[in-house]
Amino acid sequence: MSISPNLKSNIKLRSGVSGISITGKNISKTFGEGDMKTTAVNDVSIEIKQGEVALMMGPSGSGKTTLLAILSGLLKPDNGKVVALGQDIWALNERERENFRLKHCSFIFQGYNLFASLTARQQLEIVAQWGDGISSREARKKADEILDVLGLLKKAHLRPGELSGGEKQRVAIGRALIKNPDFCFADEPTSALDWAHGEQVIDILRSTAHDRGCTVLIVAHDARVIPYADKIFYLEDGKMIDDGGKSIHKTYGKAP
Amino acid sequence: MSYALSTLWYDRQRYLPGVLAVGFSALLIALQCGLLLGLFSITSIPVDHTNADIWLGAPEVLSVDLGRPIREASLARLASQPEIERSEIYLQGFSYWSKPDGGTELCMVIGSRLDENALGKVKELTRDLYLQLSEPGSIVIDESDLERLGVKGVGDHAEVAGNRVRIVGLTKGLKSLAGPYVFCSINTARPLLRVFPDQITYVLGKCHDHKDAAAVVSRLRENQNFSAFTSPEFSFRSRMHWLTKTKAGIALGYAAALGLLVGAVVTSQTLYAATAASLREFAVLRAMGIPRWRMQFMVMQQSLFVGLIGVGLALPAVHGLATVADYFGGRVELPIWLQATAAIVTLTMALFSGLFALRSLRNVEPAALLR
Repeated sequence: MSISPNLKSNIKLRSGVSGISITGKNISKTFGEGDMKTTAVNDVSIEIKQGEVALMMGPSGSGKTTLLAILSGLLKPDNGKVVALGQDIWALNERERENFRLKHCSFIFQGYNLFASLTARQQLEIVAQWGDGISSREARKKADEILDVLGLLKKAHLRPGELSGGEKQRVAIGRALIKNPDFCFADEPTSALDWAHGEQVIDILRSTAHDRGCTVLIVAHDARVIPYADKIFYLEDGKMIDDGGKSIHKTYGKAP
Repeated sequence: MSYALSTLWYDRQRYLPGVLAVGFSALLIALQCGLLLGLFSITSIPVDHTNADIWLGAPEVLSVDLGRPIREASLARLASQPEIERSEIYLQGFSYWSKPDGGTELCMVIGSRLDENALGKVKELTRDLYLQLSEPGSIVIDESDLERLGVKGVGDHAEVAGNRVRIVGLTKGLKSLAGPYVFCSINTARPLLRVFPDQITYVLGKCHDHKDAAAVVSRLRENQNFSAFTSPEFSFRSRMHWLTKTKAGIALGYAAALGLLVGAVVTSQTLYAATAASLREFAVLRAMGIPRWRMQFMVMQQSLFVGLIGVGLALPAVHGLATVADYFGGRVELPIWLQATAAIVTLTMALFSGLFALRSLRNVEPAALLR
């Protein structure tokens, strides 16, 4: 695979600012009622700067994915607030929050979720056209720029069924990046890939954060991602553990 | 190419039932209506195959074949209208045909003038035929009715209302519904229909300018002793009378509604299933803030394309089946308005199916991707 060595030359830069990008304060979330009640996130506070790659780790059921959903404006917390780019996103109404996500947020999921019927190029174009309302010609140009950066231009005409797992995940990243987002939320983006491809994906996300000023929050199990993160959070039983990396070392055998 | 069309083409096997359902509905509507129109167009052959602009008959005549006797003096009423170029008398009515080897058959006797410019002479009567018809007792029938009337062809004799007649020629393509057509001169027709010498069935008129026919008819209607129609009006009235009298329209309505219902159910289920199969992909777009209406619009586009392709396949098939029906002696009329109506009705059905399928998008839940 060949990824353009310099994302800066291809995509508009937003770096240079290193203020707080997103803050979550005293966030709690429970599911179920009565005896079935489970606390997924328990009074968690978090702060991530613009252009940082933040890694959220923890055992299964620790609440990391729930926290990602709350921070990204997809799941309403029971308590606490989330301030992103100066806006309390859970104080916004449904439409305003949808608009916020449209302008600022992108997502990458573990299971690519690409339309089987659309080509790699169309997967990106559809977001540019439907999201920004730009013309099909402009959308195509933008999509080709991103695919070029991701080393996929030659495969732009292929559908997901004709792409490898790594290529599909890169298309999913392209779909997230074509919006030029301020936030990129990635849930287990490497778990379905071998490390060679997983490393490429993490590399791209790191470049996206450092070169474009996009705030990247990754939920991952894979300890090999640790060296690429600027900040690591560790959750256990819904609580944020801040013990100087001891828990991470204990669980993953690697220090942050 | 739009995303809707890309998806439709890629997933064509999934969408095929919907396309076929729409096509089948369009085919059913067009072909059934066409068959019925063809069937009842037979009742208006005397109007459609002649040259008159205006028909003047007994009060409240329901159909051209149900004309009652009027006085021959009525001819003057029509002839005196300034827009009328020429007018003539016309006889038509049911009578009994006695087959040479026994048995009787209902027949429709048509007596008209028989010159080159005669208004009541059907176009299928060639010069040779109408010259022969001037001989008293000679008649022409359609070749499709030979067997029904128990005769072999030209030269054969039979009896109509007890009067001996001789077949002097055959027409082609003038099929009958209630009783075979028997074409003859006015003088031959009188005894066959047992009407008095001063009685006729219709007065036919030709205007200097056929556009004046409606005005003349409206003036003639002020006299309640007659009913007057332009040719297109009388043709339509005759067809509609038989359509409603036989309740065939109701049967048609039920069959078409059933076809539409089946089409709508299959199409909406096809679109619903296709949309439901992409719910996770739509959920990613919703997570990124892309408004729901974009996805709804895509589903509606898909339903429109399913409709257009279905109708596009159905119309040539309708024409093909009409040709087959024609070969086997059936008659299917497919006017443009009928094809357009069938297309519009089924396209509307496809769009309604699309609206119904939109409910699958209600299940798009972005947070579910993170569970």
